[in-house]
Amino acid sequence: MPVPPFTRPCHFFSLSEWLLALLFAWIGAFVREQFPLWAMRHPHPCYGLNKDLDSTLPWSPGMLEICRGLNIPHGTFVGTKVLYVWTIDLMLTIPWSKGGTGACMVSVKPLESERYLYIDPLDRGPEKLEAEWRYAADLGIPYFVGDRTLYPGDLLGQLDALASAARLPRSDRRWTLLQRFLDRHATDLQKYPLADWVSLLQKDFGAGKPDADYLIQHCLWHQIIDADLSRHLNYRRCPTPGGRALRAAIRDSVWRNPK
Amino acid sequence: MSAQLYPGAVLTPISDQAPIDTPHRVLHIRQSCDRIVLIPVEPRRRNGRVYFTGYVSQSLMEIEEKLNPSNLSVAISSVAPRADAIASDDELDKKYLRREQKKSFARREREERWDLIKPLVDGPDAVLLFDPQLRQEAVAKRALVVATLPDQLRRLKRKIQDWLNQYWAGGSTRGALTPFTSTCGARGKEKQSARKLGRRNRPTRSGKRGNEGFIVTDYDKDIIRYSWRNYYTRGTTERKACRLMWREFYSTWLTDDYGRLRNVLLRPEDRPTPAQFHYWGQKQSPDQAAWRKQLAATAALRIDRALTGSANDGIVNIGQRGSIDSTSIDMDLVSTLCRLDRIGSAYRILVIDAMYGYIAGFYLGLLPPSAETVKLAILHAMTPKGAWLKWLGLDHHDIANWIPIHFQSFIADNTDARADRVFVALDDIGSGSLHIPVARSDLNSPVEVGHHRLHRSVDHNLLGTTFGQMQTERGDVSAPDRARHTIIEAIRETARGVYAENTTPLDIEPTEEMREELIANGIPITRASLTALRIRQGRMARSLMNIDEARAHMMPITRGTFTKHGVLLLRPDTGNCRKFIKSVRYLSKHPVILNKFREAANQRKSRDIKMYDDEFRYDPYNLTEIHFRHPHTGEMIALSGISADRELLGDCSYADILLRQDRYDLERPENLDAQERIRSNLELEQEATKRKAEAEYAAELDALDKPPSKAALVANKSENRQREKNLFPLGMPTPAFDVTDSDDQPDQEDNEVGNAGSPNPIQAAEGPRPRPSSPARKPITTSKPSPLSIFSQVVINQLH
Repeated sequence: MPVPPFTRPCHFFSLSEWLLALLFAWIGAFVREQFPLWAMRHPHPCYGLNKDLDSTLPWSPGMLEICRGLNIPHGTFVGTKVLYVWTIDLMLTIPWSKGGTGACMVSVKPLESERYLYIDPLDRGPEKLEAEWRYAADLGIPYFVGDRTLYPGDLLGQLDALASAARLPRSDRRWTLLQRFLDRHATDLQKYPLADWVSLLQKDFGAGKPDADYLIQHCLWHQIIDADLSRHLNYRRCPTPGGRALRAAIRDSVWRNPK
Repeated sequence: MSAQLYPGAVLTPISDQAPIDTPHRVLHIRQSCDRIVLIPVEPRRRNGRVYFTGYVSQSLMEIEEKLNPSNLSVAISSVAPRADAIASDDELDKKYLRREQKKSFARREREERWDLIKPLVDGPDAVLLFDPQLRQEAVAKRALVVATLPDQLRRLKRKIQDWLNQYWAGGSTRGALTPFTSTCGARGKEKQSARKLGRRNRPTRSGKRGNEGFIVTDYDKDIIRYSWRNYYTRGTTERKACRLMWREFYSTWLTDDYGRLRNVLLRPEDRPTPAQFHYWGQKQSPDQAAWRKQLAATAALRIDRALTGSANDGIVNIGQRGSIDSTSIDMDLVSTLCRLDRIGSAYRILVIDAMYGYIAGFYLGLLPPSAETVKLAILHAMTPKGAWLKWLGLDHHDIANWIPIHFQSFIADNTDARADRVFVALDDIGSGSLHIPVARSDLNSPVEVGHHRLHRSVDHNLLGTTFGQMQTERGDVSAPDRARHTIIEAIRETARGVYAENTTPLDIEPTEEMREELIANGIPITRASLTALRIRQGRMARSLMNIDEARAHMMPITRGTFTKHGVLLLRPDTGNCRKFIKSVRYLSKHPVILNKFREAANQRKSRDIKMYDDEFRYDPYNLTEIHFRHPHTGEMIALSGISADRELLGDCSYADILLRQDRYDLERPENLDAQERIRSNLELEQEATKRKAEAEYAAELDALDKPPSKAALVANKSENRQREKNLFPLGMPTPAFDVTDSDDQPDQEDNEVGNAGSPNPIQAAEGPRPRPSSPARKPITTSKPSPLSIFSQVVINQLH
């Protein structure tokens, strides 16, 4: 399934990764999954995004060097001597950062599992976390370890349900319909239940039921209708505001521009 | 008083510039004197004693300044009370009461402390205690009242002061006076033992020294934990793992007299005992419990977990997640061609919506689970089912309860659904897939439960069921023996079962919304009605894709060819040899298709035979229709099947039709041979007739003196013809009508070869008889005038 706003299929190793990727996409970050951390020296993950700032971005010494520093083996592909390619579960590009070259690394691990609650000193898992942290520290990138239990289940479930309605390119015939709808009713969206807006789209704007549903879901995803997605959405009632504030709060927790 | 500050609030320092270094609780604010009284919240611990320090007075303005957001160094926060502080008296007793006590120490102590300070704090003068001078006097006065002996005064004053500090620091509640019993005895910490615990061993009891036993240090604990994790694995015993630990860590290597290295374990007193190994090994984490170590990893994951969630957690829309899995049905089937032929079991793939467990579609067939069958199941879930129900004879079902759903994503295991072809197809229809780990079917419970439901409600109620058991009991009739149903019947019954499951009222407590939307309107709460309700509310993850587009991506493809009579499908199992399925042909009135038929009719012979071949999409279990995808427009054009056998398309699957054709191919040579025999017999008889005619002609020629010329032979043809016509009343010879003639007795002549009539098979088998001698020329005479038949009389009368 693609992660908005992209259309390329994505591949994740767990449901947590998928849900967190959706969450970060919702707050506006661009998600790259299974991002490689090369063994040799290589540029910053945001290298190339802004040519004016490329020269200011540090380079990573490479995982081989980092592992040497930690006195742990780097690892090779099984049965070979080819250096294994480390990957980070989610690499976020932060467009709201200054210059748009902010990044954040997220390692998705089941924090409530035995493996991370009672750490075996010889377990490779914690070693890898430490190496990832060093990598992020060398590049000045925020890094955190988490899984979906850090966020409200309802929020992630609703984002999973709304993700397919996130994209609405200008070439789509529904885009014009949405613009007409917003031109007329943008200021009143909070005042009426979502089901009423669906009916209105059908009656006044001639949209079919699937299109009307799609447009309302699109508005919810992009918080055109400020709805707190961490609470169950009742379409028969006016949406409870708070979604925009929640999105801003999560955004700040991931990346806050220095003052 | 500041709007932010109030008695009871907790101030926490957040920078170095804060006037306090630890969290302090606000006790009293006196704005007129610019005074705020604070007391540290956290106790001090020294020499095993826990105590609270007294309050301090600070400048109110200074504190308020530090709360200013522009210069923030102090924050207002809160402190969670201790569990014992908010526990009731009974709860304290439950936790700390010992067998011989009526009241626990913690509760008794709390009551005593409260009784001691209550007169001071429980009254309008309590605020005076925040003046140090007045507090001292009040404390002394109270001590005098309570003391029974003069020696107790000093100690009592100290106590009262301590309890007052604890009371204020804990939030000025009675519970704050609860002693710190929960931390007594280093609760929660590992005890470092200095001597061997437990019963003394035999040598020690008998006075021997140096054999007391092994004391486990922290280092030994690490060794034990490591050994437990890595040596005690599935398939080994605890004792073996313990011995390996001894060899690795508690042994020494010695060279014997022969120069060989030998491993010698240390004395028992110098190494951990098996009991110590067991205790410290499994104590390190719940995952390391001894019973758990012997389970396979996947089994342990499956059974040893708390079920805090459910399969539809995070599911808010219909179609958000579809659960898909395959299994074999619990029954044996028979062939549609002959019910005596057993064909074994079949496979069923279910697609279930995770929100309410609504069964959206299924595949049931003889093909083992594969990408093709998974795609068919998904397509079935997405498509409207009116025509399908009609084909099955179930059009009495309410079509509103057969809801097509286009799923946003599917959750499946790692077998049939985890294939590139499935990924490509899902990608084409905009769906994703999630795969559960190996041997973790418990994570895909909706469909596993669905299988169980259908096994019980459908398979186990039909003939030929296995009841889910691999083997029958001795004496029972086996499932193959009891098998009676065909694959089509199995599909029909599964459809019935699915409909029943989806429309059965659910035994759940209805929500208010269900009452308003469903029960109030007389609609029972079923999986189908709940699903339909959510869809009406717009809670659908994906709108339905155009059915043609879905078919284009999901249906299997077969090859066929356009002919002037319609589309004939090519058999897929004959390699390069082109063989058609002739029992059914497909027609359409679509202009594109008609054009292809016309081209095939006119130009087929002049072009390569494969020129009119193309791909067609079909449902292997419903061959009433196939689809042709227009290469340029992408339009899916339906072609309807026609067959001379009216039951073929309704009762037979694709595989059945191929089987029928194979059977016919076996019988065909026999039929062809019979045709040849009959033709051969006919020709044989014709040859006899020809010989006889030739012989009579030759005899008539011989009777003449001189053979006539060819011109003489063909002359007078008209006169000959007229003469011949005059011979026969109707222009044709009619049989002689003799009343004595009986049709029951065959004429002698009829038995001779060369006469009309049924061929004598015995004579035919013996081969042609030798040509008989030319019989004497018989004059052609009309039959003896006999009474004409009524029909002949009528005709003649009319002619004349």
